[in-house]
Amino acid sequence: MSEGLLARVKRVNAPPPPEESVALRVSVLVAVMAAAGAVLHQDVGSPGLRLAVIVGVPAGFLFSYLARNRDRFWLKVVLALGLLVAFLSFLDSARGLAEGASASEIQIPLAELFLWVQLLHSMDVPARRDLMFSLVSSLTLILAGAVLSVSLSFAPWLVVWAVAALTSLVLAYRRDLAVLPALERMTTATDSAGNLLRPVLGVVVIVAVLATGALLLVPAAGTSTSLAFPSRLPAAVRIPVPGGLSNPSLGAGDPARRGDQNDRSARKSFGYFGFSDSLDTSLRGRPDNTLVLRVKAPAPDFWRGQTFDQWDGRRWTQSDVRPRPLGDGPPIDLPATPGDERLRSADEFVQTFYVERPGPNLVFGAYAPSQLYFPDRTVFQLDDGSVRSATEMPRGTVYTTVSRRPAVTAAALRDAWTVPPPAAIASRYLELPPSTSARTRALAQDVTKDAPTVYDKVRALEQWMSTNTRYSLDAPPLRDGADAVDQFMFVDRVGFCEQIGTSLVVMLRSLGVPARLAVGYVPGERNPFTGLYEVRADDAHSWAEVWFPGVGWQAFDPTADVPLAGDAGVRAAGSGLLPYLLRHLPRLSAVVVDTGIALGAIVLLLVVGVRLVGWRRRRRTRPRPSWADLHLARLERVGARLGTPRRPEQTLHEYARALERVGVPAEPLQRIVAGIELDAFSGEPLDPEAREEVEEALAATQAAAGG
Amino acid sequence: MGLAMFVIARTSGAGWVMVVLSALLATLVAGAVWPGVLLRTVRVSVTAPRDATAGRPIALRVDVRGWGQQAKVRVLSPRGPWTSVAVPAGGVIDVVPERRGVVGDVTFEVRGAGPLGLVWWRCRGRVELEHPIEVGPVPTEPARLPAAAAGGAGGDPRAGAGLDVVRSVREYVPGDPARLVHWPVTARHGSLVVKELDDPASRRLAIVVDLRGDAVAAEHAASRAAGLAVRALRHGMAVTMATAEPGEGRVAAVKTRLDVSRRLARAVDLPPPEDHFPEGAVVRITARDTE
Repeated sequence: MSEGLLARVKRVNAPPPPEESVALRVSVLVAVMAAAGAVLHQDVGSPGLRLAVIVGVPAGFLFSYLARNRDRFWLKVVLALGLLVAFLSFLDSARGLAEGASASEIQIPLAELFLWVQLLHSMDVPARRDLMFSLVSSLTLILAGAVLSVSLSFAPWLVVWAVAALTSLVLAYRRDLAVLPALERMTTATDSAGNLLRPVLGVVVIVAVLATGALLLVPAAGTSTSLAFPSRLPAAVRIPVPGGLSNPSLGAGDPARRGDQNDRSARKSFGYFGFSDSLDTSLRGRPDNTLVLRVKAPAPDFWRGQTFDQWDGRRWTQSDVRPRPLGDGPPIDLPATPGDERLRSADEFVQTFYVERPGPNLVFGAYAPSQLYFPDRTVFQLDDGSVRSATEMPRGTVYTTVSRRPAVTAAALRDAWTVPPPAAIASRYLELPPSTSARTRALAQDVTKDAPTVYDKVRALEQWMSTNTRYSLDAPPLRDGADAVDQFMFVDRVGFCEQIGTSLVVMLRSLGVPARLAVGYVPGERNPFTGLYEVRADDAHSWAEVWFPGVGWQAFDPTADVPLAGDAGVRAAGSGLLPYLLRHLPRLSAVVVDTGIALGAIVLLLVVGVRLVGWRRRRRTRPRPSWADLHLARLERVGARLGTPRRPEQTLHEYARALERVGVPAEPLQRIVAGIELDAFSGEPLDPEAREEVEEALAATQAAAGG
Repeated sequence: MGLAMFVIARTSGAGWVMVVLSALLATLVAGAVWPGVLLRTVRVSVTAPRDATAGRPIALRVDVRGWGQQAKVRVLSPRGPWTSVAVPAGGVIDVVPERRGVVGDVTFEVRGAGPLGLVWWRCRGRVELEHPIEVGPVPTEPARLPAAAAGGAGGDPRAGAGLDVVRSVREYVPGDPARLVHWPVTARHGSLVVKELDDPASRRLAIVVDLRGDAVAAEHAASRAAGLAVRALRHGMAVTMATAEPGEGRVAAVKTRLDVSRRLARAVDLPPPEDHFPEGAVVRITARDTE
């Protein structure tokens, strides 16, 4: 009974004919390995799994090829069990998802499951259909890599995978046709490698062009309905003072190490002095363009770190020095702080920050952060809404900030100002130091005298500043005792964001508009491939935040072109592709070179593989030279040495007569000719003695010919 | 899968997924459109032999030109097998004409999905042949020639076996071939008697082929007519065929097997001519019966 069932199962699963094409197998293997490499490159998998994939997949392909004609029923059973074990292991890892964790936590176990599936499947790919399944499976893997990757390092893997996958499709199609009788080609025959490379190159070029076009049309990744909230902390190094500010990139200026008198370490090239407990506008020097953050967000915004509310004429400080601990996440709910307006109509705005350089323990985010997915249980919040982690944030730290952004437009802001600010806001954000000059106040009044709303006043001041002052990193030093705003507005008229932002805040406060100075980063450049904003150290910035009733704090900045939330948005995935490529071609050169090397390696592998197969086939089909062939060749060499090479049309006897004419003795020559003819044409090989005689005769002839 | 990728990208914010999706879309578009574009450039020319026999393969010379591509081609009428072609290419495809008649054009079908093999396109076409293929019937030879054909009315009935027609007998003289000995007369006579044979050229046979009626029966009739004519020719008879051809009836001698095939290839189901036969036996073969 059981045998009958087995036989029936076997019949239903009757295998398709095995695939004989080595080239197809190699190209599918390359695609699979590139896809697996793309995932492994994202730190997925234990060392054991990584080794198993790197060694096991090629070994599996080899085994599948060698065993392609054998019955594999029991192998299938074993592989099915292996898949079951891998799936159960995945379910075990995924248990956290049912408990409300972020979908991002399932990404790694899922990618590992895909790797196991690919590895196990590679053991059983005897037929073309199986190879095509493997190719589709590799698409799943490359997608997993695409989801996990945030940098251009994914590009070489993708390119290699794409080229190998396209090559596989071309080869599979040709194999489909190869079973049919064929008409003879009319063109000059070229080798098989040339016949393959031309269409593959054509396909690659056309697909690349079309894909570029598609990238400019398809919508950008990411919306407000995000399901993934990644967070990761490679190492937890606690800040000495809970809730305190730390910024290792400032060297000796790190507020967490300020008590250490022996610390003489210099500020890192990417360190920004604004990410400290105070901001001194008399300081000069800007960070370089080191990549410090990558931000995954659906639209550009100011990535705010913290704000300053107290201004003394030179230096900004914070009045709140009692950060409150928050916890019980993820996610950690961030309560509203004074001035925040949590509008129901506000859009949820999810941003994931990938730390590329160790910087401040400030948790960045667009205004106003409402939830935080952070890999540590505790964070601290100040009453300006800024958040600090309890640990340092080394490279590799990932966290996700969820903000509630009111869809602000110019019209909405014009309509917003209908009531005076509450006392708590007014007392804190309208203060000005005695050093604020009368001409500063007068200028503010004068510039905004025709502006009907607060929004228009802000824009008028911005306009005046952009017309009458100049942004420059070479601002003159601030004189002792001078008010920074007065000197910038009336003396130097040259400065950078700290002077410009501060001047805007001071003038607005002089008009009775609550304002404060925020520091953080401008959005950075959007990478059209990753969809992430690449924030560099020189994107560190300070700007003014103005309070609007019913809206909350709104950023304004005459120097940075960041759209209002309601106007912002990236529609197409490939937005800014061409400018990005033009700007970064030199930087991309490394990636291009890597990709070129990888592509070259593939092409070389394919060419070598195809040639190897061709050589093997030729060798298999080429008849081995017989004894008669070998000895005829020897005779021909003797003749050639005597200046009488054998002509193609000459029979053996004619050639012998020709040799006699040039002096080769007739007697051994006739023995040689008779022996060769007998061996070649009698159907029976010459007996060893007769062969010896012929060889002796040949030796004699050679001797007579002088060689 | 594309939809799944889109959802993944929109909910995870992974830009690379959109790049992969774009590449996939590009591949699908290229795979779907490219074969169609390539196939539109294909031009097929066919050279055929002039004569064929129904149900038996003939070799068509097929040349396929156009932009370089891998495709497969088959001749639909007369039917042939799928043959792969790396355009431009040419060669022989064996086709089998299913029925008797004159084939003035060849229909073909080319299918291609290259170079990616994702979406198959097909195009069908018709090629006017430089000269038509005349597909004759498969000759079905009778076991013996009809008596009327062998010896005329009252002739030697055994002549129908396809042997020679005996005009008279005479005494054996040395040198006569043994096969000419007429054994029955020899037995009766008591001495060797040999046959004197009729001159074959003097025997004439007219075959009237009437293909009106059921189509299958008509084909059988054509086969029978072909077989009779071939057999008669083989035995040295002068054969005339009366057939109906499009627009006219035709009474003409056939001298070779090829003539027979061509005449019957052209024959249609109209009334054949009933007169102007040369002197000799007349055999009428119809789709209903043989007279």
